[in-house]
Amino acid sequence: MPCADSLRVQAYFDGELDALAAADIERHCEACIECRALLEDLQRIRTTLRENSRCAPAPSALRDRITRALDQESGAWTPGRSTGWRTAWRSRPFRQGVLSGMGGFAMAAALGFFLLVPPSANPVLDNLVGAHVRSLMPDHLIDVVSTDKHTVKPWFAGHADVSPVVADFDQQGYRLIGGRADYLDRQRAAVVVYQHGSHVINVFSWATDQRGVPKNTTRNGYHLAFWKTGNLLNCAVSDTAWDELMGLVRLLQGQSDHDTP
Amino acid sequence: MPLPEEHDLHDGPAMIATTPDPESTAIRRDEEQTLNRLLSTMSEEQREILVLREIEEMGYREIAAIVNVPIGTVMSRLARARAALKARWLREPEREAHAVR
Repeated sequence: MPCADSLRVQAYFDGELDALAAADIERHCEACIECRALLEDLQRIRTTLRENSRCAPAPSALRDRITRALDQESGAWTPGRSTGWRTAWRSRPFRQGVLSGMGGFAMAAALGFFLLVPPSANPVLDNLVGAHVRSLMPDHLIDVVSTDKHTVKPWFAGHADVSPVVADFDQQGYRLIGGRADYLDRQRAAVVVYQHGSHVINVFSWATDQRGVPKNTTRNGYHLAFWKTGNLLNCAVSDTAWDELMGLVRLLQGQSDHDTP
Repeated sequence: MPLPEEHDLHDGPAMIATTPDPESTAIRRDEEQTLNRLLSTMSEEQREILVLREIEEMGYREIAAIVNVPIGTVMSRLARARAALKARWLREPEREAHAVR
Protein backbone atom coordinates (compact mmCIF):
# COMPACT_ATOMS: atom_id res chain seq x y z
CA MET A 1 0.00 0.00 0.00
CA PRO A 2 1.74 3.17 -1.10
CA CYS A 3 2.02 6.09 1.30
CA ALA A 4 -0.41 8.93 0.62
CA ASP A 5 2.58 11.20 0.11
CA SER A 6 4.12 9.11 -2.67
CA LEU A 7 3.34 11.63 -5.43
CA ARG A 8 4.93 14.39 -3.43
CA VAL A 9 7.97 12.19 -2.81
CA GLN A 10 8.18 11.62 -6.54
CA ALA A 11 7.90 15.37 -7.14
CA TYR A 12 10.66 15.90 -4.61
CA PHE A 13 12.83 13.35 -6.38
CA ASP A 14 12.18 15.10 -9.68
CA GLY A 15 13.20 18.45 -8.25
CA GLU A 16 9.74 19.94 -8.63
CA LEU A 17 9.19 21.15 -5.09
CA ASP A 18 10.14 24.52 -3.69
CA ALA A 19 12.59 24.60 -0.80
CA LEU A 20 9.93 24.66 1.88
CA ALA A 21 7.95 21.70 0.53
CA ALA A 22 11.19 19.80 -0.11
CA ALA A 23 12.26 20.21 3.50
CA ASP A 24 8.86 18.92 4.49
CA ILE A 25 9.30 15.78 2.42
CA GLU A 26 12.80 15.20 3.75
CA ARG A 27 11.38 15.24 7.25
CA HIS A 28 8.60 12.90 6.18
CA CYS A 29 11.06 10.43 4.65
CA GLU A 30 13.00 10.22 7.87
CA ALA A 31 9.91 8.71 9.45
CA CYS A 32 8.37 6.81 6.52
CA ILE A 33 10.02 3.55 5.47
CA GLU A 34 7.83 3.22 2.38
CA CYS A 35 8.83 6.60 1.06
CA ARG A 36 12.50 5.94 1.69
CA ALA A 37 12.17 2.73 -0.29
CA LEU A 38 10.32 4.64 -3.00
CA LEU A 39 13.18 7.13 -3.28
CA GLU A 40 15.63 4.26 -3.70
CA ASP A 41 13.45 2.69 -6.39
CA LEU A 42 13.14 5.98 -8.23
CA GLN A 43 16.91 6.37 -8.20
CA ARG A 44 17.48 2.82 -9.45
CA ILE A 45 14.99 3.28 -12.27
CA ARG A 46 16.64 6.54 -13.27
CA THR A 47 20.12 5.05 -13.23
CA THR A 48 19.04 2.05 -15.25
CA LEU A 49 17.27 4.16 -17.85
CA ARG A 50 20.05 6.70 -18.19
CA GLU A 51 22.81 4.12 -18.40
CA ASN A 52 20.94 2.36 -21.16
CA SER A 53 19.42 5.39 -22.74
CA ARG A 54 20.39 4.67 -26.30
CA CYS A 55 17.96 1.80 -26.31
CA ALA A 56 15.06 4.09 -25.51
CA PRO A 57 14.50 6.33 -28.48
CA ALA A 58 11.61 8.77 -28.42
CA PRO A 59 8.51 7.28 -30.02
CA SER A 60 8.02 8.73 -33.49
CA ALA A 61 4.71 10.43 -32.73
CA LEU A 62 6.41 12.24 -29.89
CA ARG A 63 9.33 13.20 -32.06
CA ASP A 64 6.89 14.76 -34.52
CA ARG A 65 5.19 16.74 -31.80
CA ILE A 66 8.47 18.12 -30.52
CA THR A 67 9.60 19.07 -34.00
CA ARG A 68 6.30 20.82 -34.65
CA ALA A 69 6.56 22.71 -31.39
CA LEU A 70 10.08 23.79 -32.29
CA ASP A 71 9.02 24.88 -35.77
CA GLN A 72 6.18 27.00 -34.46
CA GLU A 73 8.48 28.52 -31.95
CA SER A 74 11.24 29.52 -34.30
CA GLY A 75 8.95 32.10 -35.85
CA ALA A 76 7.50 33.49 -32.67
CA TRP A 77 10.51 33.64 -30.46
CA THR A 78 12.67 36.73 -30.53
CA PRO A 79 16.14 35.81 -29.41
CA GLY A 80 18.02 38.09 -27.10
CA ARG A 81 15.06 39.33 -25.16
CA SER A 82 14.82 36.84 -22.42
CA THR A 83 17.05 34.05 -23.63
CA GLY A 84 19.62 35.08 -21.07
CA TRP A 85 17.26 34.18 -18.30
CA ARG A 86 16.83 30.81 -19.70
CA THR A 87 20.36 29.86 -20.38
CA ALA A 88 20.97 30.34 -16.69
CA TRP A 89 18.28 27.81 -15.93
CA ARG A 90 18.14 25.43 -18.82
CA SER A 91 21.40 24.65 -20.37
CA ARG A 92 20.22 22.57 -23.30
CA PRO A 93 19.21 24.43 -26.43
CA PHE A 94 16.70 21.72 -27.21
CA ARG A 95 14.86 22.38 -24.02
CA GLN A 96 14.99 26.09 -24.51
CA GLY A 97 13.11 25.66 -27.73
CA VAL A 98 10.51 23.41 -26.25
CA LEU A 99 10.21 25.46 -23.13
CA SER A 100 9.76 28.76 -24.84
CA GLY A 101 6.72 27.33 -26.57
CA MET A 102 4.96 26.80 -23.32
CA GLY A 103 3.70 30.28 -22.61
CA GLY A 104 0.42 29.67 -24.36
CA PHE A 105 -0.47 26.44 -22.67
CA ALA A 106 -2.90 26.69 -19.85
CA MET A 107 -1.44 24.70 -17.05
CA ALA A 108 -4.28 24.13 -14.71
CA ALA A 109 -2.47 22.74 -11.76
CA ALA A 110 -4.71 22.53 -8.78
CA LEU A 111 -1.85 21.26 -6.68
CA GLY A 112 -1.59 23.42 -3.64
CA PHE A 113 1.78 22.16 -2.57
CA PHE A 114 3.54 23.23 -5.73
CA LEU A 115 4.97 26.56 -6.43
CA LEU A 116 3.00 26.48 -9.62
CA VAL A 117 2.18 30.03 -10.36
CA PRO A 118 0.25 30.39 -13.66
CA PRO A 119 1.72 29.56 -17.03
CA SER A 120 5.22 30.68 -17.07
CA ALA A 121 8.41 29.82 -18.78
CA ASN A 122 10.39 31.92 -16.40
CA PRO A 123 11.36 30.13 -13.21
CA VAL A 124 13.11 33.19 -11.80
CA LEU A 125 9.84 35.13 -11.74
CA ASP A 126 8.13 32.25 -10.02
CA ASN A 127 10.91 32.00 -7.50
CA LEU A 128 10.70 35.71 -6.76
CA VAL A 129 6.99 35.50 -6.03
CA GLY A 130 7.51 32.29 -4.06
CA ALA A 131 10.28 33.87 -2.01
CA HIS A 132 8.14 36.91 -1.34
CA VAL A 133 5.21 34.79 -0.20
CA ARG A 134 7.45 32.62 1.95
CA SER A 135 8.95 35.71 3.51
CA LEU A 136 5.52 36.68 4.76
CA MET A 137 5.28 33.48 6.78
CA PRO A 138 6.13 33.68 10.46
CA ASP A 139 9.85 34.07 11.17
CA HIS A 140 10.83 34.08 7.52
CA LEU A 141 10.88 37.73 6.72
CA ILE A 142 14.08 39.00 8.18
CA ASP A 143 17.44 37.57 9.15
CA VAL A 144 18.89 40.83 10.33
CA VAL A 145 16.42 43.15 12.01
CA SER A 146 17.51 46.74 11.84
CA THR A 147 16.35 50.10 10.67
CA ASP A 148 19.95 51.19 10.36
CA LYS A 149 21.49 50.80 6.93
CA HIS A 150 24.93 50.69 8.53
CA THR A 151 23.89 47.46 10.24
CA VAL A 152 22.01 45.87 7.37
CA LYS A 153 24.52 46.59 4.61
CA PRO A 154 27.58 44.94 6.28
CA TRP A 155 25.46 41.93 7.28
CA PHE A 156 25.13 40.99 3.63
CA ALA A 157 28.90 40.71 3.25
CA GLY A 158 28.89 37.39 5.10
CA HIS A 159 25.47 36.13 4.08
CA ALA A 160 24.84 36.95 0.44
CA ASP A 161 26.85 36.83 -2.77
CA VAL A 162 26.17 40.45 -3.64
CA SER A 163 26.15 43.79 -1.89
CA PRO A 164 22.88 45.60 -2.54
CA VAL A 165 21.90 49.22 -2.15
CA VAL A 166 20.55 49.68 1.38
CA ALA A 167 18.88 52.94 2.39
CA ASP A 168 16.18 54.10 4.70
CA PHE A 169 13.40 56.23 3.25
CA ASP A 170 11.34 56.52 6.39
CA GLN A 171 10.47 60.12 5.65
CA GLN A 172 9.13 59.19 2.24
CA GLY A 173 7.07 56.40 3.76
CA TYR A 174 9.34 53.43 3.05
CA ARG A 175 10.82 52.23 6.30
CA LEU A 176 13.84 49.94 6.25
CA ILE A 177 13.05 47.02 8.52
CA GLY A 178 15.83 44.57 7.80
CA GLY A 179 17.55 42.19 5.43
CA ARG A 180 17.61 38.55 4.46
CA ALA A 181 19.47 36.19 2.14
CA ASP A 182 17.47 34.03 -0.28
CA TYR A 183 18.63 31.41 -2.73
CA LEU A 184 17.73 32.65 -6.18
CA ASP A 185 19.08 32.08 -9.66
CA ARG A 186 21.75 29.79 -8.24
CA GLN A 187 23.22 32.28 -5.83
CA ARG A 188 22.61 33.83 -2.46
CA ALA A 189 20.60 36.88 -3.37
CA ALA A 190 20.40 39.83 -0.99
CA VAL A 191 16.90 40.87 0.07
CA VAL A 192 16.31 44.24 1.67
CA VAL A 193 12.94 44.50 3.37
CA TYR A 194 10.94 47.70 3.55
CA GLN A 195 7.62 48.46 5.10
CA HIS A 196 5.21 50.80 3.39
CA GLY A 197 2.02 51.34 5.36
CA SER A 198 0.80 47.84 6.08
CA HIS A 199 2.61 46.37 3.08
CA VAL A 200 5.93 44.62 2.99
CA ILE A 201 8.19 45.25 0.02
CA ASN A 202 11.00 42.79 -0.62
CA VAL A 203 13.81 44.13 -2.78
CA PHE A 204 15.87 41.28 -4.25
CA SER A 205 19.32 41.89 -5.70
CA TRP A 206 21.44 39.32 -7.47
CA ALA A 207 24.26 39.26 -9.97
CA THR A 208 23.45 38.75 -13.61
CA ASP A 209 25.35 38.76 -16.86
CA GLN A 210 22.21 39.42 -18.78
CA ARG A 211 22.08 42.74 -20.58
CA GLY A 212 18.40 43.55 -20.65
CA VAL A 213 16.06 44.13 -17.77
CA PRO A 214 12.94 41.96 -17.49
CA LYS A 215 9.64 43.75 -17.98
CA ASN A 216 7.71 44.74 -14.90
CA THR A 217 4.95 42.27 -14.34
CA THR A 218 2.21 41.12 -12.00
CA ARG A 219 1.86 37.57 -10.75
CA ASN A 220 -0.70 36.16 -8.35
CA GLY A 221 -1.53 39.70 -7.32
CA TYR A 222 2.07 40.63 -6.59
CA HIS A 223 3.80 43.33 -8.58
CA LEU A 224 7.37 42.82 -9.68
CA ALA A 225 9.44 45.84 -10.71
CA PHE A 226 12.91 45.32 -12.19
CA TRP A 227 15.89 47.57 -12.63
CA LYS A 228 19.64 47.22 -12.84
CA THR A 229 22.46 48.67 -10.79
CA GLY A 230 25.74 47.90 -12.53
CA ASN A 231 25.74 44.12 -12.90
CA LEU A 232 23.13 43.67 -10.20
CA LEU A 233 19.59 42.93 -11.18
CA ASN A 234 17.07 44.22 -8.66
CA CYS A 235 13.46 43.28 -8.25
CA ALA A 236 11.00 44.90 -5.86
CA VAL A 237 8.07 42.61 -5.02
CA SER A 238 4.93 43.59 -3.17
CA ASP A 239 1.17 43.60 -3.19
CA THR A 240 1.15 47.34 -2.72
CA ALA A 241 -0.13 49.54 -5.56
CA TRP A 242 2.08 49.99 -8.62
CA ASP A 243 2.77 53.69 -8.12
CA GLU A 244 3.71 53.11 -4.50
CA LEU A 245 6.04 50.30 -5.45
CA MET A 246 7.57 52.45 -8.19
CA GLY A 247 8.04 55.24 -5.62
CA LEU A 248 10.50 53.03 -3.74
CA VAL A 249 12.15 51.89 -6.96
CA ARG A 250 12.78 55.52 -7.98
CA LEU A 251 14.23 56.32 -4.56
CA LEU A 252 16.53 53.30 -4.75
CA GLN A 253 17.59 54.17 -8.27
CA GLY A 254 18.44 57.71 -7.11
CA GLN A 255 20.37 56.22 -4.22
CA SER A 256 22.43 53.93 -6.39
CA ASP A 257 23.44 56.90 -8.58
CA HIS A 258 25.02 58.41 -5.48
CA ASP A 259 26.54 55.14 -4.33
CA THR A 260 28.17 53.88 -7.47
CA PRO A 261 31.69 55.19 -7.95
CA MET B 1 53.32 20.65 -39.54
CA PRO B 2 51.67 19.03 -36.52
CA LEU B 3 49.52 15.99 -36.88
CA PRO B 4 45.85 16.82 -37.12
CA GLU B 5 44.65 16.96 -33.56
CA GLU B 6 41.22 15.93 -34.58
CA HIS B 7 42.48 12.40 -34.87
CA ASP B 8 43.47 12.08 -31.25
CA LEU B 9 40.29 13.68 -30.07
CA HIS B 10 38.30 11.17 -31.99
CA ASP B 11 40.23 8.10 -31.07
CA GLY B 12 40.64 8.83 -27.38
CA PRO B 13 37.11 8.61 -26.08
CA ALA B 14 36.15 5.97 -28.60
CA MET B 15 38.86 3.63 -27.40
CA ILE B 16 37.99 4.17 -23.80
CA ALA B 17 34.39 3.45 -24.57
CA THR B 18 35.02 0.24 -26.45
CA THR B 19 37.68 -1.41 -24.32
CA PRO B 20 36.05 -2.41 -21.03
CA ASP B 21 36.51 -6.07 -20.27
CA PRO B 22 34.34 -8.41 -22.31
CA GLU B 23 32.37 -9.64 -19.34
CA SER B 24 31.04 -6.24 -18.27
CA THR B 25 30.36 -5.39 -21.90
CA ALA B 26 28.25 -8.50 -22.16
CA ILE B 27 26.37 -7.75 -18.97
CA ARG B 28 25.76 -4.25 -20.17
CA ARG B 29 24.44 -5.42 -23.50
CA ASP B 30 22.24 -7.91 -21.73
CA GLU B 31 20.83 -5.21 -19.49
CA GLU B 32 20.19 -2.96 -22.44
CA GLN B 33 18.36 -5.66 -24.30
CA THR B 34 16.27 -6.54 -21.29
CA LEU B 35 15.32 -2.94 -20.69
CA ASN B 36 14.50 -2.49 -24.32
CA ARG B 37 12.26 -5.53 -24.28
CA LEU B 38 10.52 -4.45 -21.10
CA LEU B 39 9.91 -0.97 -22.43
CA SER B 40 8.43 -2.38 -25.57
CA THR B 41 5.77 -4.18 -23.54
CA MET B 42 4.67 -0.94 -21.92
CA SER B 43 2.08 1.41 -23.36
CA GLU B 44 3.28 4.18 -25.64
CA GLU B 45 1.95 6.66 -23.10
CA GLN B 46 4.11 5.27 -20.32
CA ARG B 47 7.17 4.90 -22.50
CA GLU B 48 6.81 8.46 -23.66
CA ILE B 49 6.65 9.93 -20.20
CA LEU B 50 9.65 7.92 -18.99
CA VAL B 51 11.70 9.10 -21.95
CA LEU B 52 10.74 12.73 -21.46
CA ARG B 53 11.48 12.70 -17.75
CA GLU B 54 14.46 10.39 -17.44
CA ILE B 55 16.23 10.68 -20.76
CA GLU B 56 15.33 14.17 -21.91
CA GLU B 57 15.33 15.37 -18.30
CA MET B 58 12.33 17.60 -18.75
CA GLY B 59 10.40 19.16 -15.89
CA TYR B 60 6.71 18.48 -15.26
CA ARG B 61 5.61 21.68 -16.94
CA GLU B 62 7.53 20.96 -20.09
CA ILE B 63 6.16 17.45 -20.21
CA ALA B 64 2.63 18.76 -19.61
CA ALA B 65 3.05 21.16 -22.51
CA ILE B 66 4.41 18.56 -24.90
CA VAL B 67 2.05 15.73 -24.03
CA ASN B 68 -0.75 18.27 -23.64
CA VAL B 69 -2.17 17.03 -20.35
CA PRO B 70 -2.49 18.75 -16.96
CA ILE B 71 0.43 18.53 -14.55
CA GLY B 72 -1.56 16.28 -12.22
CA THR B 73 -1.82 13.77 -15.04
CA VAL B 74 1.91 14.02 -15.69
CA MET B 75 2.54 13.11 -12.08
CA SER B 76 0.18 10.18 -11.88
CA ARG B 77 1.19 8.85 -15.29
CA LEU B 78 4.85 9.10 -14.40
CA ALA B 79 4.26 7.27 -11.13
CA ARG B 80 2.37 4.51 -12.95
CA ALA B 81 5.04 4.22 -15.63
CA ARG B 82 7.80 3.93 -13.08
CA ALA B 83 5.88 1.37 -11.07
CA ALA B 84 5.16 -0.59 -14.25
CA LEU B 85 8.81 -0.65 -15.24
CA LYS B 86 9.85 -1.74 -11.78
CA ALA B 87 7.23 -4.51 -11.74
CA ARG B 88 8.35 -5.79 -15.12
CA TRP B 89 11.98 -5.71 -14.08
CA LEU B 90 11.19 -7.68 -10.93
CA ARG B 91 9.40 -10.31 -12.98
CA GLU B 92 12.61 -10.97 -14.89
CA PRO B 93 13.75 -14.39 -13.63
CA GLU B 94 17.38 -13.55 -12.80
CA ARG B 95 16.61 -10.27 -11.15
CA GLU B 96 14.09 -11.31 -8.56
CA ALA B 97 16.68 -10.81 -5.89
CA HIS B 98 17.81 -7.29 -6.69
CA ALA B 99 14.86 -5.10 -7.66
CA VAL B 100 15.63 -2.68 -10.47
CA ARG B 101 19.24 -2.75 -11.48
